[in-house]
Amino acid sequence: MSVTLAVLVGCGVVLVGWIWASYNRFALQREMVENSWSTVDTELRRRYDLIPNLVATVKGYAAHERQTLETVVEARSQAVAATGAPEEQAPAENRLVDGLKQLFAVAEAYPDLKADAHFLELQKELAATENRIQAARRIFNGNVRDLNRRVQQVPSNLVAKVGGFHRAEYFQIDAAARAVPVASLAPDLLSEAKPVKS
Amino acid sequence: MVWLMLVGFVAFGVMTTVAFKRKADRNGDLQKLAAANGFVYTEEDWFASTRVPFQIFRLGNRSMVENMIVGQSADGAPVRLFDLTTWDEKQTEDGTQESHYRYMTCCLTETDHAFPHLVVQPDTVATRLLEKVGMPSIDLESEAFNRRFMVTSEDERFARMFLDPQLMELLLSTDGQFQFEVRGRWVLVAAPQLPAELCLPLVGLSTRFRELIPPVVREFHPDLPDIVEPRPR
Repeated sequence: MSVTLAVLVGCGVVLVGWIWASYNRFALQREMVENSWSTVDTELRRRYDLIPNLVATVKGYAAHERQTLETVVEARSQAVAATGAPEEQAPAENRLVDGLKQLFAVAEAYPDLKADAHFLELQKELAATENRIQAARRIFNGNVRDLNRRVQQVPSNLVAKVGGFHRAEYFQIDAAARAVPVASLAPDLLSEAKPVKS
Repeated sequence: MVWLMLVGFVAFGVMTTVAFKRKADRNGDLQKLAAANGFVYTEEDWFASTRVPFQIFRLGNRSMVENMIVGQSADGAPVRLFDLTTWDEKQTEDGTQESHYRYMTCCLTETDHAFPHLVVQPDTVATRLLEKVGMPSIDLESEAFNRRFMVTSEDERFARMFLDPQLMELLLSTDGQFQFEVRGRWVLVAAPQLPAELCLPLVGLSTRFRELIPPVVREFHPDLPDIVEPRPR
């Protein structure tokens, strides 16, 4: 009798220990997802801060490209106004990147603008910010992936249900938008990165 | 009985001669390769390269470096190309010694930044077993990449930042034939022993790998003195 009781108590202790550890891990993972989202958000805001300067510089050389400039300004306003949740932020970001692509396409037609030191500086800053956004996005999505996996897997999904842990949303950016910083925004940076000798 | 001993003796002689000839041929081929491409060939490792604590150097309890080629890659970075043999020496219960050898070709280059340890190795039965016993692979965005490679690092954030889509694409294009490691300022690319004519492409692959290190990683890991730098013996 006492052996059976000891075994039962032992099993109970192991079970409680596992639930405790699993719950704490979920809490940590949720914290990591929130922290990594705040890093993405910080980088996105850095990009929003650069855009008014960029638009003003382009306006100085290409004031009659009003439609493109308005598209960028409007897309920026929508992105700033988005709630900050990944699923709502992503479409706004995609529109903004589309607008920026149009803006840089316009800039191609104005050699004076392309040679403007301030414009070049902004272009480089924007490219660096884009790179940081992409890196932060990869870290965020990695954390979301780890959390979602545990929320769905047996037996940790039982702890998730009881503890109120849910699937998190990925921050999905269009493949085309992802290519922007390297392909279009920073041709100068790209040429700098090439090997000295071939 | 005498005939049997004679056959055994001749077989041993033939095998030894073939092994010596293969080794001499390889030394000769690599010397020629070094001379033709402006590299320096040396039979021994001047730099004690295996002191850099890469995982691949610790595969066995013994290791040996030979046929070292030293020079510069196309972009001017220092390069060391060498044959690495690692083996486990074990004493069996009946007192005999057992050894299991692994032969590899490695290319060691440098970056101007100091990074945490990162290992990207082809996914095999052994790596899947490691995952089961508590060495989980860091999963990245590409499912194709996750299926083909096991990624481990002392800094998970760094691994996710480092392995961007372009770098993953390069690694996928290698068809899982190579192991990549980064530690401190060192970058190592290793493969099962390659014939001499494939050694230069290994340097090219290593150079490309270094070129594709995302700028954002360099930004977050500025140049630091490398505490794991090997010193000449």
